[in-house]
Amino acid sequence: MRHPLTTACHCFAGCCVAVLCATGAWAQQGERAPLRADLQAAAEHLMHHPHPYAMTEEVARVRLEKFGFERTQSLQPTAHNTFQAEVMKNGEARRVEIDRITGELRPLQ
Amino acid sequence: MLRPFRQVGPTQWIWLCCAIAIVIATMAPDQAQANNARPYRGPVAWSIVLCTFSDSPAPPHDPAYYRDLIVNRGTSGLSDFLAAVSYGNSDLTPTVVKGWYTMPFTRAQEEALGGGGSPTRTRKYQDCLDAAAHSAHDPYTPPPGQLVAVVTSPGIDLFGMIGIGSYLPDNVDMVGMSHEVGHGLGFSHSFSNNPVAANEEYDDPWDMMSAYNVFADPRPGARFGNAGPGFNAHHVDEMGWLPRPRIFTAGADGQLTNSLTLAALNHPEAPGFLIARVPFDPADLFHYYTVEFRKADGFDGGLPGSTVLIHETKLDAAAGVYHTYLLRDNGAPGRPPIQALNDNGVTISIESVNQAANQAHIKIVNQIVDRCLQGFVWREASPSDHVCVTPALRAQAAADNALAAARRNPAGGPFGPDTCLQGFVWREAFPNDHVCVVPATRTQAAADNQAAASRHNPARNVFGPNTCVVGFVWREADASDFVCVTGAERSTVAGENANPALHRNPAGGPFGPDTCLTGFVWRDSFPGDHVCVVPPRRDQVRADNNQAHARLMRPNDE
Repeated sequence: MRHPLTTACHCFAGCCVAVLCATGAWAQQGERAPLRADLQAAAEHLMHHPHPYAMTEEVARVRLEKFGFERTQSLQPTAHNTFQAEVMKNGEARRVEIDRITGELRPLQ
Repeated sequence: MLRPFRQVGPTQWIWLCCAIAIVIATMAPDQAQANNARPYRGPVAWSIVLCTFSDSPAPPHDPAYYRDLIVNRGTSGLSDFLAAVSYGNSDLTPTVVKGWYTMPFTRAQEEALGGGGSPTRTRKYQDCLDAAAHSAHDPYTPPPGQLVAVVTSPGIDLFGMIGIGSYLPDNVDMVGMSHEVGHGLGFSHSFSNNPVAANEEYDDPWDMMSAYNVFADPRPGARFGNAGPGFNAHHVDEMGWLPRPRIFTAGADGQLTNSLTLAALNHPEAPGFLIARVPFDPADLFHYYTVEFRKADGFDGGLPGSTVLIHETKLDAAAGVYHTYLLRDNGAPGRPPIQALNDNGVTISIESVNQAANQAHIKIVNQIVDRCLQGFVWREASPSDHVCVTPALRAQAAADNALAAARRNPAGGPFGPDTCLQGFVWREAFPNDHVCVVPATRTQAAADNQAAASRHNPARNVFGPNTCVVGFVWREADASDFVCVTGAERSTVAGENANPALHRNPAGGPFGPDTCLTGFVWRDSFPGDHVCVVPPRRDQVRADNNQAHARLMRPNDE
């Protein structure tokens, strides 16, 4: 009669082979397992609570002021998730664009 | 009979190692402790999993970059941010960064899973974790219950999932990471009192939980992009990071008027309170105003200026949780935070701000000190009678007042014109109360007078977000210990604290001057608690720590 530990080891080895086969299959074919229940629930939640990543005009204006710009009241939203503004810095008029997600500031012609 | 050790073969060793690994993994409660486990002190362990698509170009950063961004201290990264806003109570140093892993899907295939509004949006998150788990060269599965941030290159989406983790782009900045860590700690978004979009979500740019609509520090050229602001005072209070002596509850001492000094929330070295709670609702002791001062520097360097903020913390009935609502002057240009309040029996005014000292001086008048606990009302036996009684007894007093003349002897008597008819006596609810009542009513009035103090001033019972359920009290192993324990356990801890060197080895030892005598171990009620106790005492402390969240009166907050 086989020792129980030996039997367990053989079972374990079999499981490992199965996992390795599944791993290989997943990697090669890109097949997806069912979506985890908690992630399914999270997707439902996110559908009803979309996250507005973008900063508002208020925050963008303060940001421009932190960069040393004046006359920041001219902010206008664009279709590309940015604000554009005619601002002043060091007595010089400039047109700038500010990314509403990254806050990156770009000069415009 | 057990086999001799040397006879265990290689296969058995693999089996044994796997079993041990599984047991160890299930015995690691710290891994998930920060997930909805307030009050929380100690480092937070996340897993950061980096993934590319099958057609991605080379990622812009290596894993070492993300370790500096998230894990390592002294980099001005996320771990430093968390240490700063928690006053040293937490950081992210146990977090691991794994990757880059390559998913067997193209960027287009993953993008096709959709963004906001798509029921398959979170599949993108699972695809990365599956790629890590199935990796041939470095398979990785995060420990059960641990929060996991997935970072993809290129970035295609950004979202957070409370209690699970987040999905981030490879160029995520400090703001995005800090916000998601906030969710991981259990915080939900912050709101304002905007009447246009009722109680507008993300409309508190002074609080990280409104990101990306926040006053982040632009930090041009900073390695990790934008950073800050910190969390609002209520969020910090929730985690138990504010020492009790730095929390002021207006009215708790019975004083109607208080003038006090607030230290800037981001300058704990300044003397003063870090938060003032101003309760006003006897029906809900978690419904109150908070007042905090924020200095525009450090991680708050992006704020438009230093300012006092007043929030209302109240129940969001639809969500079933409490949220913070920044009170803004919605009628003024720019909708600035209100700088004075006169509502619900509360008056708050700012007397002065001392920028150099990082302090603000405020005045609070709170009528709640004269109000009754829930279930009681003023007796009003006279217009100024504010003894708290049941509504039925107030009605009784009003009825007795209405019958006062009819119960008086029109002919007067030994007690003058106020002499009562036979069977009636003076009520004596207050001095010179000569309303005639039946003797039982006078006895009741005397009893109510006796109980008056215990029914008065609900502010006495306001203890904030970490209030314990009935039967438990804060352990108070130190000023920031809000773990709820039995009264007996608190007494034991107080006794141990009374002589912390009692079981320490006076000669020191391998653990320095805090080395315990043989047979004793550090109590470890919080990181750095080196009071020496016997091992069963440490076991008790650990058990209480593990029950801390379950013993809160309001555990499902945020």
